[in-house]
Amino acid sequence: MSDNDPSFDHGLDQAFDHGLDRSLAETARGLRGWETPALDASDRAALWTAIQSRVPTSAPPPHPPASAARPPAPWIAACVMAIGALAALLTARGRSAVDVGVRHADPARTVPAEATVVGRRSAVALRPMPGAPPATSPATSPSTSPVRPAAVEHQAAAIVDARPSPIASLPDAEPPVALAPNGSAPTTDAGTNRRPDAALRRDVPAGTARPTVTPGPVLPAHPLPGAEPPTSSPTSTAPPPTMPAASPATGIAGVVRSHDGRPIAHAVVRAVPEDDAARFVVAVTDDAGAYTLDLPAGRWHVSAIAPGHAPRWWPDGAAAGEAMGVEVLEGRVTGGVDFMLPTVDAGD
Amino acid sequence: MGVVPILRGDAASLPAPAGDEARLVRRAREGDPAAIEALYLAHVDRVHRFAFSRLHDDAEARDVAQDVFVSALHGLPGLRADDRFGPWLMRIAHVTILGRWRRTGRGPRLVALDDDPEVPDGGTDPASHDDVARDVQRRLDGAAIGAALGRLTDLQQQVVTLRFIAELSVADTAAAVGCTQDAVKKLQRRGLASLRMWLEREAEG
Repeated sequence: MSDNDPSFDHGLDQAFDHGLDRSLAETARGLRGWETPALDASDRAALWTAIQSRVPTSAPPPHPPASAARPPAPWIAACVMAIGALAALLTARGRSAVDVGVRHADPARTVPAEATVVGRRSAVALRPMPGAPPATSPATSPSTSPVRPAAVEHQAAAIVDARPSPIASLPDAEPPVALAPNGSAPTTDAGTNRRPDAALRRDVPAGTARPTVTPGPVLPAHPLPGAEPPTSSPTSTAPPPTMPAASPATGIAGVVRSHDGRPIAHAVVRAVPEDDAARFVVAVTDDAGAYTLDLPAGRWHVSAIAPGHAPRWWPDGAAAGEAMGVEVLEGRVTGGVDFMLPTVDAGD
Repeated sequence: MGVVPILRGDAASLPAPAGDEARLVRRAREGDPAAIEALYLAHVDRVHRFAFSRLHDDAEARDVAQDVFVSALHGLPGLRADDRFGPWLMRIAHVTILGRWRRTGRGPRLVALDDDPEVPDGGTDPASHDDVARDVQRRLDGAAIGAALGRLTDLQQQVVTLRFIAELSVADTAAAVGCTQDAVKKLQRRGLASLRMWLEREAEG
């Protein structure tokens, strides 16, 4: 509250209007200067954390869940439309169905499928061809998942281009493309961040249209709130962005317990850079009292608070001035930053 | 497994523009987490301060602030006047504190509206006002005000804190307390007079 807060002055004006003499108004003004305990930024953050833990819906994602937002994704629509156009073209040539498949980089794992035209161009249903072997991952490739034709109807980070082409076969060196069920992460080859190759293949005479698969944007399995669905031209041929390699964890971990040794769930642990008290990072303990703070390397002052307990600054300070810095090294989680919080009698 | 950090911040990001509050309320009602957080940051200090003025305990005031915002976030869809978020929040705080006292059996002393005969219903000698005010100001440390507030009747405390700490209007205070505006004005005057009297006594040692 600033000293010239107009709402307060307005209140005082009203007080005068309502018959208060000056001394009473000054008394009221004195209330304004009453130095009550103030919340600092980390206190506000800790309170907010506690509030959010009690109101799960208080901060819903600004966009509907991925499962609701994705279905009309343009590349899926483009996929269906393109296959529909292809099938319509074939239908016009007297074919009512077209064989397609979803192919891995390993040709042996190609899964035949059949696309049936429903109407002339409205929709195409993909289903495994009768007698087709089940698509299973070889035991020697545990990191790759079976790719089913139906996956095309799910989150397909691929775009079909149905441009006419005389080419009837596809080279094995297609760029990697992930076809994954909606909501699941694209599978990757262990250690390489490469996803299984896949492409739509038809089995029709040369000279007719060829559906080709071009890589689209790769989505995270759980997009960050606020992330817009990626847009891409249906004919984009840009190589897929590679998934960033997971950086080694850097931060602080520990357990918050009560003085009697019981773990304290939902305690709030905050870390403040030793050289910048205006910034902070907050985490909440789980049921076992454990927490992990993902922090940049540096020296941090760490404190913990919990309802019914007195706050403590690591290692066992009762005030911020008694805190000792915790060194965080890049790529390492500094463990053992534990707290024992004294219990506070509510009647005190 | 520890829970990942969920909030980062810096001091510069804290204040929310008061003029946009109605817009923030609309966005918050639609589920915009940034708007919800902005409203929280804009009001949490005042809610905490008001709670402390009633409870005289920082930990309890933080608990109440937490309860208030939990209630507010649950009840936000029911708030119709988007530009009345602040008074609405303070009324929640007021009710939350009363409910807390009811549950714990603790609370301020309950005195009838007119049951405070030792406090004059008005001012003192105008000539001494400035001296008294200066003296009161000089003695207005936290403990003295807290002690003086604690000596007011419950209704006086409610009105004084709602009016001059929560900064509600007379009408909003009347709605929060559940009495008429005239009663609020009367309680306000008596409450301030009583507060001043106790502070003067404190100043005299």
